[in-house]
Amino acid sequence: MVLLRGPIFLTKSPEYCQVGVGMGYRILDHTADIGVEVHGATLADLFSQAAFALVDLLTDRASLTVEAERIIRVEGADLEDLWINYLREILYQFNGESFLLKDIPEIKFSELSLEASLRGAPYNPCRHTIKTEIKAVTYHRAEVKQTPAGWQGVFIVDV
Amino acid sequence: MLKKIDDCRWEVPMTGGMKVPGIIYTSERLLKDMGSDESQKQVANVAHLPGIVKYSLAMPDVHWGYGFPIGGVAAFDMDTGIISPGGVGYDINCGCRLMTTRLAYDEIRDSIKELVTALFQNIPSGVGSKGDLKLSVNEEKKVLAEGSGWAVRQGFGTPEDLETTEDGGRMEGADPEKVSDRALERGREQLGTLGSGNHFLEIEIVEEIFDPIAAAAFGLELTQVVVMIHSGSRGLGYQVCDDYLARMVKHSGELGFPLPDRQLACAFLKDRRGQDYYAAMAAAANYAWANRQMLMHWTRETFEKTLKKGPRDVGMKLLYDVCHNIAKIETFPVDGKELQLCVHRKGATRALPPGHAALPPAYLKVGQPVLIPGNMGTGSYVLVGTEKAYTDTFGSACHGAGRVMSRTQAMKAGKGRSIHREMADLGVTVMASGRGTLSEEMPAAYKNLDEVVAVVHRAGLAQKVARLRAVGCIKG
Repeated sequence: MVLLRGPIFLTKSPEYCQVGVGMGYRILDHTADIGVEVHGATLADLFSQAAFALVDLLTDRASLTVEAERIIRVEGADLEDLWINYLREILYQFNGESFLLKDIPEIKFSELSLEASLRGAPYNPCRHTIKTEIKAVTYHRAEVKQTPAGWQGVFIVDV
Repeated sequence: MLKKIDDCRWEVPMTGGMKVPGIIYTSERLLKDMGSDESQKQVANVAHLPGIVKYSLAMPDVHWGYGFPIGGVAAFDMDTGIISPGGVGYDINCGCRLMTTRLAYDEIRDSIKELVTALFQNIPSGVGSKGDLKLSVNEEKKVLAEGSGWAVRQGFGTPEDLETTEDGGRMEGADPEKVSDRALERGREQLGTLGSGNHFLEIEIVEEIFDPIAAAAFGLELTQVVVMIHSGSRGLGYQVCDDYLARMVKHSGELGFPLPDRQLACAFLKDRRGQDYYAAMAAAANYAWANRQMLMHWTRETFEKTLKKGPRDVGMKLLYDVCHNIAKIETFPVDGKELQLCVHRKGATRALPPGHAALPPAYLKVGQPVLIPGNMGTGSYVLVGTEKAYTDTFGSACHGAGRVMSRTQAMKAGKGRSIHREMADLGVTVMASGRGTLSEEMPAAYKNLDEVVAVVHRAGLAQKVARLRAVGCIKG
C-alpha cells in the first residue's frame, strides 16, 4: 500500500489536533506519563499521525525544515507490536540519531512489517527547542483498531 | 475492591488468576487521592506473574505507571519466578544521594543564588543533555562493569564515597556485552549529566530531627547544609529497558501464560533471556552510580570554589546513595526460612534494618539511611530502615511523594502563574533548563510528602530521622 500526502498543519502544544475529517490525535490524561489517542482514515494515515504526535510532544514540528531523508524498516509480532515498534523506532531517530521528523511522504505495509520514508532535520540545540524528554514508548494499553471512520490507535509514552 | 487491614494497609483480595493478594500501604487520605487511579489494578496484574512470593506490594506514594505501578515492590522465587524490565522501569537505578557538609545555613544564606547559578553552569542538565566527556566504547564498558569505582579511579571523588553507596556503587553480575550498541551510543555522551523531568540537584537545610541517635550516626544536625541529587542511568538505561522489553514481548508466547498487560513482559530468571536482562540492567545500574558520583564531585568543587573554602571546611561527605528503580537478588525471610529472591523495586527504596550485613560499619547499629526526595519546595526526608520492612516488605519503603496530577493537568494548573516566583516566595531559588519542567513539577502535582512519610513511619517500614527544607534547586 502506498500513501502520498500533502502538507499538514498543526497547532502548537495541542490539546486536540484536527488535521482533516477523522484524522488527528489528542492527548489523554495519565498520572505519570502521556497518553495519545490517534485517528487516521487509513492505516498509513494513522501511523503518520502517531509519529507526528510523538514529534509534536518533543518539539515544534511546524518550524522544522526538511534537510535530510531516511528510511526505516520495522517488524512486529502482530499489528499492535508493529505499532509500538514503529513508534519506538521514530523516537530512537531522535534519541539515538538526533534526527527530528518533519514529514512522512510514504509508508509501505506488507503483512506485519513496514517501510517508512522520513523527512526532517538533524537536531541542532541552537535552533530546536526540546519541550519534553520522552524516555520511551510503552506497550501499556497500546491499541490499534479499525473503526467505522477509519483507524484508531492509542499509545503511552514515559516522560 | 480494597479491604482495609489496618490504618496503614489495604488488601487487594485474590481474584481470577492472581497468585497472591496485593497489599497497598496507604492512609484514608491518600486513598482519596488515588481516586480512579489504575494503580490498584496494576498491583493486581503483578500478582498474576509466576513465582511471585507472599504478595504484590505498593508503597504509599504509589501512582499509575505502565505495567508495574510506580511505588510497586514484588519478589520472585529464583527457580520458578520471573524478572521484568517493566518492573524496574526505564530509568534503571534512578536514585538519590545525600551529602552532608560542615556548613551551617547562616554561612551560605547570602550565597544561595550564587551557588545555584554556579551549580547550574557546572552540572549539565536538561533534555538529552550531554556532558563534557565523550567516552570511547571501551572506556564506557569499564564504567558499566565498575560503576562508582570507575569514577573514583578517574578522580571524581574518594574511595570513602564507595563505602556509603548502596552495593558500593557496583552491582555484581553486570555484563557490558549484554548492552546493545544503541544503548552504548546513547550513553557515551550522557555520563555526568543530571537529565530532565523530575531529576534535580537541591541544596537543603536540616530543619527538624526526629531521631537524634540515628541522626548523629548519619552526621546530621539542625541547620546544617546538605545536598540531594536525584538522577539515574540516562538514555543508556532507557535503551536497555526498551531493548529487553521488545525482546521479551516478542517471545512472550513462549512463557506459557497470558500477560495481563504487554508492559509486564518478562522472562524466567532461570532462562537465558532473564539472565541477559539482569546482566544488562546491572551494567546500567553501574552507569547510574558512576553518573551520580560525578555529579557529586562537581557539586563539591562548585561549593568550594563559590564559597572560597577548602575541602575540609566545606566537608562534603556522602551520607548515602540509594537506588529506587532496580531488581536485585537479595535474601529475606519467607515462612520462617531465609530465601534468595529477585526483588523488584520500581519507585521504592531499599530499607535495611540495623545489623544487616550489607550496611557500612558506621550505620550497622542504626540501620540503612532511606532517602526520600520531595518535590520542589517541600523538602525531603531521611528515614532509617527497620526489622519490620525486612520481614514485611522485602526491605523496602517509599521513594518520594508520588504524582497526583498528570503532567498535562499540572501544565494547565500552572498556566499564567510564575512557578519560579512562587518557589522564590517559599524561599527556594530555582533554575531549570526546560520551559515546561517547572509547571510539570510544581509541588501541587504531587501527593503530600509528609502524609506519605507518615504512613511509612506508622507502618514501621522506616522511621523518621530528619526533615530537610529546600533552599536552592537546579532542574533539567
